[in-house]
Amino acid sequence: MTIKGLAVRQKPGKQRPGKPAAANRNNLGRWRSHILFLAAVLAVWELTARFSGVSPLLLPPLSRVMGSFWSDLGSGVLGQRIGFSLLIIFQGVALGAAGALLLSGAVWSGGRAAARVVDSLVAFLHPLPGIALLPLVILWAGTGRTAVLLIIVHSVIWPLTTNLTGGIRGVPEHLYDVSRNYRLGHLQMMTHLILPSTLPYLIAGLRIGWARAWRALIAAEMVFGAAGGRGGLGWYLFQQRVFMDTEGLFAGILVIMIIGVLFEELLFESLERSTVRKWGMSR
Amino acid sequence: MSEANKASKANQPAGGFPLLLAEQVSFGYLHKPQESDLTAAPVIHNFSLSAAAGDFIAVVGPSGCGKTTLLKLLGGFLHPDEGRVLWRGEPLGSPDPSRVMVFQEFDQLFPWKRVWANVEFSLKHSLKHSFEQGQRQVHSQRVAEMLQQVGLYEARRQFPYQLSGGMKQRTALARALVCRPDMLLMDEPFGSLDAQKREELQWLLLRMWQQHRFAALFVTHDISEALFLADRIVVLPRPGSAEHTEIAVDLPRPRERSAPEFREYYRRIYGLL
Amino acid sequence: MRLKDITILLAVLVLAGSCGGSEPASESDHQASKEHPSPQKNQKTLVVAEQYGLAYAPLQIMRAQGLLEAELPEYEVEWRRLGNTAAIREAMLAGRLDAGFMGIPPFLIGYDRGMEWRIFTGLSEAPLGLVSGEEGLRSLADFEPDDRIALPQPGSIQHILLSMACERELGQARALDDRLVTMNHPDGMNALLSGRGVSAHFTSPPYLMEELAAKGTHLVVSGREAMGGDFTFIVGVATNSLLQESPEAIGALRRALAQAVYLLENEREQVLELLSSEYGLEQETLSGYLDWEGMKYSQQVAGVERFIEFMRAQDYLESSFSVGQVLAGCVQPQELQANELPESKELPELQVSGQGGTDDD
Repeated sequence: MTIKGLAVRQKPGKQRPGKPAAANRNNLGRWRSHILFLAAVLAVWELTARFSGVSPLLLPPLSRVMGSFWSDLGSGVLGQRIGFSLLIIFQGVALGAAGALLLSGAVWSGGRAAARVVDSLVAFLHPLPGIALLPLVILWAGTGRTAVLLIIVHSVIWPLTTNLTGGIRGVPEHLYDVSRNYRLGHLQMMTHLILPSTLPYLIAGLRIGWARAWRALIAAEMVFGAAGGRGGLGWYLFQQRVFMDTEGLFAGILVIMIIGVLFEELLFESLERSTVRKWGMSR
Repeated sequence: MSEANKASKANQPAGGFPLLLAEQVSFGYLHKPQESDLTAAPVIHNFSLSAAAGDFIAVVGPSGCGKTTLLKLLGGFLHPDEGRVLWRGEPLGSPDPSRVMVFQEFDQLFPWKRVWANVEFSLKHSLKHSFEQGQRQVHSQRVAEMLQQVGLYEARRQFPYQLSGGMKQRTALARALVCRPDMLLMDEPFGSLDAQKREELQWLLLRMWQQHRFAALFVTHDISEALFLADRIVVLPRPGSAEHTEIAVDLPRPRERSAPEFREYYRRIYGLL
Repeated sequence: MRLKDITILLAVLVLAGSCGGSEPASESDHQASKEHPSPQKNQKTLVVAEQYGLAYAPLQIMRAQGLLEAELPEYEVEWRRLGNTAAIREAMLAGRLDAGFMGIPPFLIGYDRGMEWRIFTGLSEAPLGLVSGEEGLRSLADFEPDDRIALPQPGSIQHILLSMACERELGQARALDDRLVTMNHPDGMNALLSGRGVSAHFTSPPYLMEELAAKGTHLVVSGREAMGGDFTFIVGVATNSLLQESPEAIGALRRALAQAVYLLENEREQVLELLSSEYGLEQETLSGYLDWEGMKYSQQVAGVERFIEFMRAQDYLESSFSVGQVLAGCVQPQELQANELPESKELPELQVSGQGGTDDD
């Protein structure tokens, strides 16, 4: 995933045919690699766990992990945790993205003063891990969902803002000139020029934001957990840990990894394929 | 200067205003240190020009002498520090689809729009204040015609990154012309193309000019290109030196680059640079 | 494509190979660390973990006075302070710790899951309790669905005591489980005292005392009421390998503990000076906390049977086992009643070390 500048210059005369077939094959290939890799790792894992004499409390065999996975899935516990996690992450990412769009919109419309304020804001807050804010967030927002949501928003908004403002600064000057030439208003400029131009940066930022949101959720829940009945996968992991259910712990980690891969492939890859890669804005 | 004035007067329609009139225009980036273009820092000094409808004027000059800045001043993208620019006798406002710019750079096309949509874009936005009945149909017809004229109808579903450089510039030209501007401001539009493509597009541009009768301001550093295309050639001096010169090109069209008269003009302009 | 597949397979195998290769190595490392961690000095190490809180006070004294080191000259003693019981448990499982101090329920959970460890001593009894800052919350029955109760973690002694109280008062042990918020003690106290987020906090000294000293707070239920009797709050736990292979280390730990408790009771000024900086409390306040009703440092272990029984009944434990299986030579209250003084042979040594303490001054 490399985002090149927006102007992907082709050598004159070189005409690309439409390449859906090739893209499809690449895609299949990547899936195959993922699955093959996973299968190999799992096989090595099972063999090691069974025959190396390591305590099952340290490395339970895969079969027992799957047992724990199916039983928690069957009882609905895992489903609830996954649902809770996804919902709060979607909300966090959506709020963070809205905030980042507002901030970068301000950078674009507000001129240099606004840009400087936002730059400082990002410079101070971006390096701050959400977990470091946790004690404060608890004081301000109490415990439970709101606090976790705030931590997630914090972890999403700054990297996304950095990406978006970078993208806005990278909009080719000539496209501005063309848009001015046709008297596009401020709002039209936003929707017709800035938004599509910064889309590669937006997607890259969302990818980072998504990963950070997961980290924030899991970390926050493992520090202060959640109200018993309602928690996400971080809470699930935490419970497995305090009750020393190593199999469940592994099952939880597997679930998080699988969700990560699924969203990467199904959401971000296809989003990129249907937009910026189709437009030749990134490869 | 005297030659320039003479030429301007000769082209001024009796009793009316010229389409575009620049009077002693000066401009410098130096006192605007926040501009990102500071590195270029070209200065336009005391520039005058008069263009009537249908004129084809080329501007040649050494690199860094402010050709792009001049074009932006005449298009309304920048405003002169001294002097004034008049459009049909009125002070020039902000950029407007009646004066369309075409750039050298290939990134002037919207990468997320297909060729068709890139061309249609200008039509949509230039006509937004004069809404017509059946506009959509009129639009499609005009876009299709224009694409046929520049030879891109077959490529109308391509995205810009799928086009060659020549096709990209054809698209830019089509986008500029589809809204029927009074003046086309071109900033070395063929500068990034190889010699063969460049010549092809020069022919295309002349054909379009003869068909649509727009006034053209064509900036280039290629003397032979200027001679091939323009009725009048403005030669800008090196940065810092004083005056620009305007030369009327009195050669029959289509022009033959190997003709002795052509070479004579070439030598004369070369001597001024 | 096929080449790529093969590359992936190879990469995994190499990775696995390197892990497998390091596995036996780390195993032997780990054994070495038990036996001869620094062969050049020919010394053994003893790694002991504690946590933060007033209930661990004897360990602070032991550490500051070098009591354990004095009892175990042939060992290199390392102290670790870990943030929570789960971390201690995991470190012991990984072979990084020989002994640690924790509440009884987390120990039982580990034992139940197959950890090879046992309790070798008690450390303290302490007043635990559920503190609320809301006037209306006088008993467990007053808690509404949106009232939040902060405690360290599920399966902690605070959680099990709350469950016991729930069973006693509400008839159902897990009645309030969906209102729990997991927080460490300082965060829980801040949340309670700031009036944000939690309605009550099940906590232990010194947080219990600080919370009760604040305005508008009250005790909803005490640990003793919940349990229906006395119980040991913190116990010392050692790995079976330490218990079997290094009985001298266990003996030394017990003796050093007895000396620390002796100092706590008999050298109050010196102890207050040391602990007040440790806990960031005024000496006077601290003295009050140490004399708080129910605060008691002793090596006896009480309440294990009741915990096992309750946790088994509530499915926190999967297997059945008896008190005897989890205790390694500890003093139990029944024995104590028969014989007021624990293991009289330790008393002379205690006096010796008391002199050692004054020598230091």
